[in-house]
Amino acid sequence: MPDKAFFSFMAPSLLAMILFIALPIGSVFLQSLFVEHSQVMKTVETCSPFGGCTDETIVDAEATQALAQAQPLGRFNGLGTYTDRNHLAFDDLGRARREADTFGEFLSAIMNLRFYRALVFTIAFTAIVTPFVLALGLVIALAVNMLPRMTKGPAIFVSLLPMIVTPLVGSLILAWIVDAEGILGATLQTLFKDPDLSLKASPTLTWIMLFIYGIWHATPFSFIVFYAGLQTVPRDTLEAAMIDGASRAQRIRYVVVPHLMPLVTFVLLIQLMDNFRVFEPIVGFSADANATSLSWIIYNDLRGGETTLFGSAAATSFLTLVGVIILLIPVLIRTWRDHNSKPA
Amino acid sequence: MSAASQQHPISMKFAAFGLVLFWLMLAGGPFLWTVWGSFKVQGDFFSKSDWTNAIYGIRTTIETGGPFTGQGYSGAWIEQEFWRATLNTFIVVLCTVTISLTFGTLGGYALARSGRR
Repeated sequence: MPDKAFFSFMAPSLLAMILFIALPIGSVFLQSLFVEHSQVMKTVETCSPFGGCTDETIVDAEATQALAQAQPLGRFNGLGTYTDRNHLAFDDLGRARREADTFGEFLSAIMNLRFYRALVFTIAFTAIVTPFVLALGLVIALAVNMLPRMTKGPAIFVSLLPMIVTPLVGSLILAWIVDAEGILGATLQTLFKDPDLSLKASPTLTWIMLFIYGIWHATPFSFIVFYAGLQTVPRDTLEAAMIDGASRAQRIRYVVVPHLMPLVTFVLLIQLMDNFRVFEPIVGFSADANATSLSWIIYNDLRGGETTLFGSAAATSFLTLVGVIILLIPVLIRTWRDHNSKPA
Repeated sequence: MSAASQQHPISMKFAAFGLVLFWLMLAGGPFLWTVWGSFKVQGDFFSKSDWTNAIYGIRTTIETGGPFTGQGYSGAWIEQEFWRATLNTFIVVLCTVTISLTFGTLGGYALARSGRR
């Protein structure tokens, strides 16, 4: 294919990528270098008929608005937003390291910092949910593949339900069930004879609940990918392995899993990305008192307070992006090497 | 007729069947429960005193006269204007799928046909 034809075919995609990926990232980075204007103050003299005159400092609404309109990006802050207390918090981190005697104290000091608290939850979520999703997806795919033909279709359909519905609705459905007045929550209260038992009150239980939701939501994805892969496992190799005396487990270990390996890499890549962006379950379960993720603090900057903190949200977004890239680099390098070593 | 590699001992089949059944209950159960509960009033769906209220619809019968009610649906669809949200969703879906599929197939074709690596 001549270069010219190649580029004209690629042009729409490239244009869309520049417009919807590169430009927004650039704009987010630019915004992260700025912070909101502080309010313009002015001193006015108020006089009352009897008490004389006093000077008062009030917010000059007009001037504040004029300033915001003149410089909509805000006040230039350089990388200050990245290192402030709400983000990487270098100062607080240094102080915690100097003052904390034990590792536990250091850890609890870190958990008081907004960004690190969210980072710890996000990493824990990614690290726990991803392996479970891969393993369960494979096991369910193998099991469904053994079902009689008639039941495969309905089984696949129902299996996909947790993935098809929007994450927000899915987490709401589960949240209603484990709610103090929902069927599971109320049953647990009766079982443990504790009318105040609430999964939302305990940080540990909240984390476990969110992990379970994450596994429940993402397993259908890995299931359907692995199930599709299972249909292409070469039968000759399987039968040759049987003749060689390989047991069922050995056939899965040495024939099926190696055959599915590219798919495992694919699912791993998508899952790492998805789980690192965990957001909806925290809103759906209203779990933000005990668990916040990086995406959630971005949302909170934009929608949580009275003023919208664009600079702070942009800095967190950029740090999240860096996190995703760090997480994906090993997988990407591996994929690239496999791709290049394949005979053309 | 199935190949030897497709045949499984009966115990394996039962294990697989049980596992899938357990998974389907986990995957589909919450939806079934919510669909069922959507025809009840809130007092039944979130019944603290007795969970079987949600099945028999005790409060629903008291409040609406029958064990099932469509109140939730008319409330969401008409009063909360869910129809508008649905319409918006369809517009977004139509545009996104059309645009990304067009661009994607064009780009994918070019990538697949170009011999260079």
